[in-house]
Amino acid sequence: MAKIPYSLLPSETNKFVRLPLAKVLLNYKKTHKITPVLVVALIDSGADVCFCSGMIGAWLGIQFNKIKEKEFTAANRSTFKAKSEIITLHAYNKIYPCTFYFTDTLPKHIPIILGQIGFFDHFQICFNYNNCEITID
Amino acid sequence: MKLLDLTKALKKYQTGWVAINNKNNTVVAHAKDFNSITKKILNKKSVFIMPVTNEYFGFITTITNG
Repeated sequence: MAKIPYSLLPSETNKFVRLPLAKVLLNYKKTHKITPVLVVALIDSGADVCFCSGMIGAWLGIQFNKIKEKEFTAANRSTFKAKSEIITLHAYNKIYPCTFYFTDTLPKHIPIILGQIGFFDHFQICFNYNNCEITID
Repeated sequence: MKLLDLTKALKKYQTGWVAINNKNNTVVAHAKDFNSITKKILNKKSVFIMPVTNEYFGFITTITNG
């Protein structure tokens, strides 16, 4: 079990914002490329799946031209397309294959989203906002 | 639990990516994109990387055209 703190980040409109950020490694077995250090990722129970920025996918060496796009609908009803690939996710003492959907339409400051399928189905997550703590078991 | 306060570390950066020391939460490298930051941190230990903005508020699993 891991207990991690919420992250306090700058906000121009709110002064500060408290976000549930995790730190993960991504490993693409087809190219043997792995992120050299931990990368920040948003733990997002509102996301059906895991997403990752296309820039990281390109760095991992994913050949996106061979992958079919899938359409998603965001909370504001807009749609966007993403391409899936299986990535080995290293997170909180677990290493497992996880389908990530790669897209260039994520906000620049949220490069990785850990959603229901791929993250919440592998861990029990408990958010304790008032105690600034997230338990990942 | 104590918050991981990154506000001071990120204060002077508005774009790009930073590498942050795990122990003292200070920025040890800054680069314009993911590819560049991975090159800058090759010999650095105990760091994590993240993108920078001056506005982390307002995200609701939606998308932007940014």
